[in-house]
Amino acid sequence: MKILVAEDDQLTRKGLIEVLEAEGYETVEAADGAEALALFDETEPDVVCLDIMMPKIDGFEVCRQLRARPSDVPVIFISAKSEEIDKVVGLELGADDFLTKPFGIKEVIARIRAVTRRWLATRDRSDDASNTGPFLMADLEVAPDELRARRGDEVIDLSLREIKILRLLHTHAGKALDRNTIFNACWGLDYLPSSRTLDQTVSQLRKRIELDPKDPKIITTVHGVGYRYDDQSI
Amino acid sequence: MLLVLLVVLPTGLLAWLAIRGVRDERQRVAGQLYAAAESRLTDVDARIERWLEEKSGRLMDLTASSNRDAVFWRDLVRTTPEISQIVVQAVDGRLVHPPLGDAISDAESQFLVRIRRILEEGFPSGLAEPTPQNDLSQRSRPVIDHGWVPWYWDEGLHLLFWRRDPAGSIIAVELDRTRLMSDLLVALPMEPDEDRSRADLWHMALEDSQGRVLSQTGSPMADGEAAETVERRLSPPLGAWVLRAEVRSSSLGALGKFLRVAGLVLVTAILGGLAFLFHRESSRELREASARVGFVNQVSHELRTPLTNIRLYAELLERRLGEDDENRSYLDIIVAECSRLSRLIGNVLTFAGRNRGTLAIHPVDGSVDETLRSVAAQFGPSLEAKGMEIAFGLAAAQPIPFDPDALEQIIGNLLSNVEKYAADGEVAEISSRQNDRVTLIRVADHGPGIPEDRKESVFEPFVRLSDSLTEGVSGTGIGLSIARELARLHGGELRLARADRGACFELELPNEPTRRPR
Repeated sequence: MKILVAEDDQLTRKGLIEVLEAEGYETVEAADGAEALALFDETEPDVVCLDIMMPKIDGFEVCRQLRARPSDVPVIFISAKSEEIDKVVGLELGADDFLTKPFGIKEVIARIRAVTRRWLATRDRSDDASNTGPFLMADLEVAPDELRARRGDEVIDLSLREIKILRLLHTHAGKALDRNTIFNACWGLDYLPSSRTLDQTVSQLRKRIELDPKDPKIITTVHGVGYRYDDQSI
Repeated sequence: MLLVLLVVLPTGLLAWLAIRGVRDERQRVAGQLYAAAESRLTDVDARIERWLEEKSGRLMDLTASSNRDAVFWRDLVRTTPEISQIVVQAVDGRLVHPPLGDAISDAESQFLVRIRRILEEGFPSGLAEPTPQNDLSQRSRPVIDHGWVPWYWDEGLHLLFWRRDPAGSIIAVELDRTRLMSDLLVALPMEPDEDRSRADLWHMALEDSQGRVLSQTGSPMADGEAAETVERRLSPPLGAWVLRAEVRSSSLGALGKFLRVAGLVLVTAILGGLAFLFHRESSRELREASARVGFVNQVSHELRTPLTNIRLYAELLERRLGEDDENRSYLDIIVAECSRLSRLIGNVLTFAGRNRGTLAIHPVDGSVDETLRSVAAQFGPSLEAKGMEIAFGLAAAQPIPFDPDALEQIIGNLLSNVEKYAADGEVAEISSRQNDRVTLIRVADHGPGIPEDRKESVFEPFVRLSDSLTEGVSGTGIGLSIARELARLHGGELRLARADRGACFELELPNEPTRRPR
């Protein structure tokens, strides 16, 4: 899933990109409204994050033009909570959500997840052979459309990348997947993350879904190779 | 406004001067007119005087003796074109000529009819009246023995010259009217004005008793065209005649018109100038207002951007640290201080907005408990650093419409005060409960509380309670005033509740919006 981030402050933009990529999203960067529109046409993102106060063309105008394409791409406005009635105007323009500065990482993720869930629900994603329907991994019910997993009453939020990893392992249940395979499937071909990144991500995922992260039952390590999911029910 | 005065006063002065100028000009021209008319009249009078004298002399000669017969008189009438008829009256009043009876001609009898009245009245006798010019002594006063009688008949003025001969008979000569007129007019030529430049400006006419123009000079004027008129009656015996002089109103305005037009232009210019000034004033206010709004937006943006980056990178750094890394707490503090700074900025901007009357809230349905927890989380680190903890008692599960940013600001301000003044109390209590109508949120502490006499004034802007035990007074003093304003915008209220110890603030929000937010 691709997100276009249009923000004129370089530091903020880079920070947002880092957060989104860690979550598992493909990202496109624009430094002003004109670039945003050009990149939108070129790369066809699935979600657009628009800073309101941008040079050349401001966020509201970009949104107006996007809607006029016509396009119903989900839009998240980033505003500095000024005296202007940002929210009213934004909602009228068909914005899905707002991020107000200064925002924290949690807020960014929460907003993006909400948008992603809606997006997943309306689309028929089949970039790999597996379907998007929920699946079971041991006692864990994984619901990709919701970016969540459930164990009994417990609800666990998962990032897009984590969903991708689980789905990959589930699809190839019983098979040990090497790092490259996992990278290609879950990070995309444009990335060259270090293996540390993969390990860290798996470690974090285990903390979320394993009953005992130190003794993982769902994602097992295959030393020297990579990781594997064993379907116990077989 | 000073500018307007500066414009209006000189304009008024100029206008007044202009009007004065026009009036003076009128008077001047009128004066000139009178003077010209006077001199004309004097001139005309003198001429007529001369003419009458000449005529008198001539007629005296012609009627030297009354001892003539009718043939002589009739002959005289016939041969003297200027004479139309002659009458001779004996001293006893008996009519000598024309002879009555069959011999009288029609013309003569008509003549007698014409002058009947005059004959009845008789002719003056005695001494001439003294005039200022004459010597007043009896001796030098002349005897009246001739004169002129004007009378009116039919077509107008008739002149009768009479004389009394030594025998006492009266011989009276009626002048032929036509000849009289032409003679008179020849005698008083109405020369065009020496000053040619004024030829079009005025008109002088000699009018008879009927108002008929006997002679004129200059260009006649239509009704109403004359601005000034001067009239003078000629001296007797032509006293029924009038010399009338008129000045064209348009000539008055060679200057007057110019002044009038200039005045109009000036007034228009003034009005235009005033309109322009007012427009500029109001548009300046508009421009300033929008500049102010733009400034506030710009400030907000400028301050919040670095704040965003500080928080973002502090959190990104935190993610890179292990779970147990003790450095995390330092980063927590950085993040908490970002929140505090953000709150301060929010307060100032809200205060500015309130002053401009642009403060507004945007309610959405939501859970107040969620917002309360989120705000409390922001204060976690800084309260902890002061040895305080937060005790929750949240029971407002039902969603109500409220502005989460506004609620954050209110609770944030309350907790900020707790942190500032009630750290010794060691606990901050945040509780919420609901009934059908309202949602009540309480923020309480176990600090020194608020003195009874300050209970209302704390809500006023710029009021700060200073505790002599604290290092100094911090804060801007606008937090509570803003918090209350935001509460009221929701249709709710922020008040100080009774408490056994410490301060207890109670925020009441209606479950249904009762006041439309601006």
